[in-house]
Parts: sequence; C-alpha cells; structure tokens
Amino acid sequence: MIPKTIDIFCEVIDNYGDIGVIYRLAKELKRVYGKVRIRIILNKLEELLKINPKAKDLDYQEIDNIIYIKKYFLKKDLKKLGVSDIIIEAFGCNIFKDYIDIAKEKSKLWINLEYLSGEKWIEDFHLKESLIDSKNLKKIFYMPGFTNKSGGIIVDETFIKRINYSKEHKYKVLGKYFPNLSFKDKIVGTIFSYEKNFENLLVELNKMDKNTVLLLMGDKTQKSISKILKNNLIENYENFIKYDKVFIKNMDFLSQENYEELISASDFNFTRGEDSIVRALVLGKPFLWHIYLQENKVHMEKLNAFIDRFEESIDLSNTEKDIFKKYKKLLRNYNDRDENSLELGNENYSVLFDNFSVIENICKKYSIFLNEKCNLVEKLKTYIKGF
Amino acid sequence: MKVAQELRQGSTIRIGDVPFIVMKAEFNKSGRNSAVMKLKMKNLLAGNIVDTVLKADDKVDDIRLERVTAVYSYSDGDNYIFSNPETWDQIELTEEDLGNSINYLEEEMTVEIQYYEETPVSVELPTFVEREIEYTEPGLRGDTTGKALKPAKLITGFEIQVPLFVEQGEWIKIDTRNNTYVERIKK
Repeated sequence: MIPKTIDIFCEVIDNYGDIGVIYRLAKELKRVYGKVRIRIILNKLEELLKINPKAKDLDYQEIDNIIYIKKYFLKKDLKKLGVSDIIIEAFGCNIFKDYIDIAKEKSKLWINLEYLSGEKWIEDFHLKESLIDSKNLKKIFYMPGFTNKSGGIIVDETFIKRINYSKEHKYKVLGKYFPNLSFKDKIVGTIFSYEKNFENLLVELNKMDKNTVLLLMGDKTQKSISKILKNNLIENYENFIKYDKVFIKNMDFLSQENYEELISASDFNFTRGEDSIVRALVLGKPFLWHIYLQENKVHMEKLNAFIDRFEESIDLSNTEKDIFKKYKKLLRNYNDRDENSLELGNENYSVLFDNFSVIENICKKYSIFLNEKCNLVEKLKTYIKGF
Repeated sequence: MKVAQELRQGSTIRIGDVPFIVMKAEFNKSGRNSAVMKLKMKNLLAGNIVDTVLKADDKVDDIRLERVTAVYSYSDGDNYIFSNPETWDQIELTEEDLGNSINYLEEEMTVEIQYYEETPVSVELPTFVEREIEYTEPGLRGDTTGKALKPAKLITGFEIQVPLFVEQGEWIKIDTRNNTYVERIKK
C-alpha cells in the first residue's frame, strides 16, 4: 500500500514525553513518505508550543508540511476535514466514535501504537490484528521495543545527522549556546530527571581530575540540584554556578532540535521518559535513565526488561562484562524508589566515571545494534508497503 | 456487551456479523501500555482459527449459545464423544473444540456443550473441579504459606502449580478459568 494520507492521534496529559514521540514520528514519516499528507490531532497544544517554537495556539495550522489540528476542531468539522488512509492511535488515546465510524468505511489501516517496552511478551503482540467490525479498515497493534522482532524505536535521520555534526564540531556547538565558557578539558553532561537527590553525583564529580559542566534540563532537575547547592559554597562564573570543579547551568526549556544538539555534543546524558532515553541510546554515549515512576514498582520490571534486552543484544569482552554488571546495578539503584523524592539513594556514580571509556564502548555497540535492527519507521514502512 | 478483559475460554462474541468462540485468552499489562487481551478464537461460520489482540477495555458484543448437558464417554483418537443423557444422542467434538477443557476431561464427567445453530462448538467446564494429584515431588510439611509452588500432574497428564505442602494422592480444588490451585480437599 502506498498511503496518501496519515492521521496521528495523541492525547497529551501533563508532560512532553508523548508529544515528543509523536512530533518526531510525524517528522520522520514526512521525510520518508514525502508527499503524503500528515496530520497530528491533539487535545491541547501547550506542550507542542514549547517543543516546536514555530507552533502557534491555533485550531488548524501547517508547520513544515505537517498539519496540526485540535481535536475539538476536527470533531466539529469532521465532514469537511475527513479521515485518512492510515490512522495512528498513539498510546491508547481512544479516537472519538464519529471519526472511527467514517474511518470504517473510508480508511485502510488503523495502527494502535503503544508505549515503548523492553518486555519480551510484546513481540508476540506486535503487528497482531485486532478484529473490528469493518470490511475496509484493518486494525493492528504496534509494539515499540528494543528487539528486531518488536516495533523498534524511532531512529530518525535528522537526529543521526545532528549527532554526526555535533560529534565532529563539539566545541562549536557548545560555543553557540555558551560563548563565554571554554569546554576544552572539561567533561560535559546533561541531566533531565524527576525529583532526585544528586548529592553523591556532585561529590563524585568533584573527585575527578577534570572539571565537569552539567547542563540541567527541566524544573525538577534544577530544583533537585539547587536544594543541594543551597547548603554549599558556590560561586558564579560566566552565567554558570560553580561548585568546586563542577560548572552548573540551569537550561531554559529547549526545543526538541536544540535538546538533540546539546546531548549530541555532551559526553554523558542522564535522561528521563521515553523519547529522551531513546535519543541517548541512539547516540551511543554513557547514559542513565530515570524511568517514569509507577505504582508497586512496576517501573523496575520495565527497567529490568530493558536491561535484559540491552545485555542480550551485544557481545561483550570479559572486562566489559564485569563493568556492565556494575553499570546495571547503578541503573537499578538510580531508579529503585517508591516515590520521586530528594531522599539520598544508593547509587555509586564512580562506576560510571571510573569506567567511562569502557561504558562508552558498550553504549556504542548497543547504539549500532539499535540503529541497524530496530528502526521503527523503517519497520512501519515495510509493513505498510506489504499491506 | 462485555469488555474484552472478561473474555475467557468458551466465551462467545460477535464482531460485525461474525460469531466467534474464544479458545484461549491471555491478559497482559505492561507499565503505562494499554492492558491487552490476546485471543485465539474460532470463527463459528467459517471454522477457521484467528489470533487477535484487543485492548482490555474494548467493548465486544457477547452472544448466548444454546447449551446442552452431556456426559463424556470416550475418545476414538480423533474425536471426543459425549452423550446426551436425555436423548442418548452422540455428540462429537474435536481436540481443538475442547481447548483447555481437555485437561480435565474424565469418563462419565458431566459438562455443558455449547451449540451454534445446529453445530456443537465447545465444552463449558464447571468453574471448579476436584482432581487427585497423580504425581508430585514430596512436599515440605513445614511450609504452609502456599507462596512457593511446585508442579503436580493430574491423571490426564496435565500439570498445574500447587503449594509445596501438597502431597501425591491428595485431592485438590482447581479453578478451571485460569488453571490455578484453590485448596486441598478431603475425599
């Protein structure tokens, strides 16, 4: 099948994760399919306005050849605006009935796109048909994951280009954002997290020979670190807070493109949520993932499943295996919590910084695997072509 | 109307004009992902088997099939033969029709057979059955928590998980909806 039109539905709740994934998916689908009409239907635009500076608070708008429509507006003008050949229902958002009634007559493929998961069982559910009352429209489940048999992750070409550029021009990229600070001989890291106590991290960074630059993303990260700094001797240096050997910068909200540029130019990235962890993995540099907290520690099951997939996807030398064992422990301790709080955790960050080059090599290997075997849009395109 | 999460082996539903009987139902939930049901179903018109996935909260039309009480007689190798105690009619079902019920089938066992129009399509077991443990490894008498489990084989060869304190030769009550041990019983 060669689609002419694609609609992506997403219900944004309270953060940038879901819209981040959808925005990226739409851009990559546009790149891959060229002339296909792509529309994103959203319940609200506040989050989009932040991650895409070109967006305005309008019911209907076209930005970079992608159409954005508020859900109520599509509902109101459904007869005029119509449905599309392919419908992507993101994260179980439940598309309104009137649309589905028309789609059952006029659309061809309805893709129920789920959240990313490392759990093995998703492979069994991936691309399985979900029977519906229609002769024209087929509904399937699409399960993104970290394996070849799953739906994969979004490895978009624009990001790959950005990575290559930022790796080659690290200082130029960083200099664009921070013209007054020299980054030579400094380690640069980003932190994007939920509430968390980073005291151990700062202690560890101050033990190192080199200076570190920490770029803090998001309110929760910035508040978490500022509470520690409040009780310590700090100074101001060229718009950075200097805490002994660590230069700290609270970043303003970044567009998706600027975030990508900065993490690509950084040496390590602590991320949170689905879209940013995938960026860190594709990037292939040392990372920590602050996974979304869930009741009864379900997030730990999800993390462990991810770690299992990570480990089984790459070949490691004996030295790498020993270090990976410690790195896994760090990933688990970094996330083991009943609630997001500023309570001091058990994580030992020296594992990361004492074995930095080995962990970097492990991450690079995993990145190659993901890029080659787990490209979501390529997989989707292949499925649609054969549909 | 039913929600997909309520579907079990033997449930009968209609999607569009097509009636289906559920042969196997598997529930899965992962973090923030939708809870989903993976179903193996038989198309009651065409006879073909389909695999499908539904969101656990998807609504489906349930249909009520005719039921006839019957007694299991024997298997001729290919088919399973039941008899209607009122009419003495013989009723034949395949292994596929029986699904999970085959694991609990014993001669002279009374079951409900479901009919779609004139055709027998499946067996509905009682929710609970009582069965003797034919074989299990010796138990740990001190362990009464029931948290640790071990495999136990029934006369049909079917294995279920039982607590460590359950011994060979004992009778247990089993929930046939999910093949789980409920309790020990005295016979």
